[in-house]
Amino acid sequence: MIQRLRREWASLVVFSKREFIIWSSYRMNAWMWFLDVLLNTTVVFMLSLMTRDSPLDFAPYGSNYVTFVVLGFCVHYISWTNLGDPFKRVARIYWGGTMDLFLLSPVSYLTPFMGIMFRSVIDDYPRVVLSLAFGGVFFGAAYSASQLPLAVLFLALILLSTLGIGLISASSFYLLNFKQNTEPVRFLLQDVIVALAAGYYYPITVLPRSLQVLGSFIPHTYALDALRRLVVPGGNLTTKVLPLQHLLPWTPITTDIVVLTAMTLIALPLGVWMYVRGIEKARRQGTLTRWQ
Amino acid sequence: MAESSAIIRVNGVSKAYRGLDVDRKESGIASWIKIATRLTSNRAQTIRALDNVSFQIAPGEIFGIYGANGAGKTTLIRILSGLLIPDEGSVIVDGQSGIDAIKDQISYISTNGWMGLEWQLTVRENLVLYGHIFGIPASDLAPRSDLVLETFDMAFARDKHISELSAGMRQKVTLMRGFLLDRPILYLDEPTVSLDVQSQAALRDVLVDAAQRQGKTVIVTSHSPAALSICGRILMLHTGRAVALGAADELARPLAGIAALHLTCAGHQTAVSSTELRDGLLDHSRVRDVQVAEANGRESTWHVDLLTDSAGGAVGELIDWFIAQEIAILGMRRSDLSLQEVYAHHVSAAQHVVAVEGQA
Repeated sequence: MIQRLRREWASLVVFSKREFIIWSSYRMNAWMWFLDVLLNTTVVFMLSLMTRDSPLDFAPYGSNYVTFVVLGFCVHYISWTNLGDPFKRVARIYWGGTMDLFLLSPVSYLTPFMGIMFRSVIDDYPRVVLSLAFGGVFFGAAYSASQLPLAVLFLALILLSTLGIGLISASSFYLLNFKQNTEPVRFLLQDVIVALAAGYYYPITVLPRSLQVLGSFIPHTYALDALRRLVVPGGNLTTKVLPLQHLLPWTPITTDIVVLTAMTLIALPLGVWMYVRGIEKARRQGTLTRWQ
Repeated sequence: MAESSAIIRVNGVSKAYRGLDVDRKESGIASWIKIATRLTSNRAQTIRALDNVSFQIAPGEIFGIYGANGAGKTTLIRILSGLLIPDEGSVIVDGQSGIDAIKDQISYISTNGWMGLEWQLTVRENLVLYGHIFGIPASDLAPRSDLVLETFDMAFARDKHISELSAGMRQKVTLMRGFLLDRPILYLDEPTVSLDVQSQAALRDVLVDAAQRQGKTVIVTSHSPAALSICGRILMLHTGRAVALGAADELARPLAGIAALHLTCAGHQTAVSSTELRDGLLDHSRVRDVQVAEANGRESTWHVDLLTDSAGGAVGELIDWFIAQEIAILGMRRSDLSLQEVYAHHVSAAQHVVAVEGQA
């Protein structure tokens, strides 16, 4: 078992090296990537200037709009990779014709897929750190570190729950034969529900009730609620705002932890199971790779 | 061959594909609905890729699978490797079945679509990457990489990116990647497609060496007769069915009384068309089969390939026929029957059997 885990880890490291070589071979990428994060943070700063003297209330999420949105960016970048990328990576394996080789290698079904995702990890995860840094250094964002372990827990939960949904999205490539650039799971969640109801730029309380209920079905809502309460200075830990927080008897943070954990425990195993089923189906149908 | 000594046993394997064609111009919600509808409909076409194929392969044998495009060669080799699950029948490799048991025994080399070479990496980086993924210890990887680079005469290209290589060189990299693994069974799917004549000959030498000196079992699929010239036995596939199996001379035995004649004629000086020439020759009692190809240069010539009776006097009668038609023969030579001609005979015989069975 230990030997097998070591082999999987060694393969992941090799895949990661490959993705880094490929990523860094496009030198303009690094500059554009840096500029992109800086510009996004600048836009948020401009918006914050507009709202600074207005009577807008971000309660219970403190009063610093730049911090509020920068945290939104952090969740967005994680989600962009973990939820949005798996389908594209499976498509790349399929169109590149490498699935045969990966299946004949001693590594598990998931390792090559996780390794190839490393390209997006390189591209998106550092944006989280850069956004926090740009916000803090140039645009007046302030962060409260008093609840840092809890904040890290929420980052881990949003990372795992979105990865689970990403796996469900990826499995549709083989399981449901969606061979185009898009598929319904990612489209509905990322392009519709997350875009409308996650509240990257605004508190979910400004949305109509129906959209707030819709937002209850995505992990982003709970991660953002908790992170903003914990990290934005002046965040309130007791005022309930989300529909489920009103329904359940616990504190808002406890509700967020319970719901996010439940979403992770459902989405991650389901995603893995569906992905493996999809590969087995492709082995029966003869649709593992484009080239056969 | 005694069944107990076989390293690969294939018993009654059949495979059908259910056609789910995807129109790349369509995307988004419309295509999702269309795909979902197709998934639940019974209108999808079924293509029978393999039909009740059985054979055994002995350890150390070089075994060929020959057939035209769409005959089922790639489907068969993918089933042998465990990548594809057959609808019926079984494949036993070294006493085991299932991809997890089979994959440690085989090296599967497919040159279809360059099988995922990494274009931004160098040749050596490609080898190292896949060596690591396949669990070759780091200490063995460098010497093994050097060995395969030397074997395939590619040492000069070790630090070149895949994008800088010609099609044939890229194909050599896919071959090298397969030979990097020291496995007892080698599967090669169309290994000579982009290789020049010299490289094809060199590959054949490598395969013979792998079988004779290292005791490896080699299975090669190809539609090229030259690629299979090293094979001890050849399985001939046609539209998914095994139409013949045996050594090259055994396969040619039913055609013992047939000779191959290759004529070059002056097409531009004759009154008949190439089609009329073909039809006329097919009516000749000494002719079994004929192919006519036109070469349209400044002066058009016809290349006529004939299968004739090898009994005495046949060639003379045919020359008389050409003189009677006032067609000038510019050149003539006899040759042994090619694998393609033997294949055509077996396909024709199999189709005749099917037709007779259909009438009965």
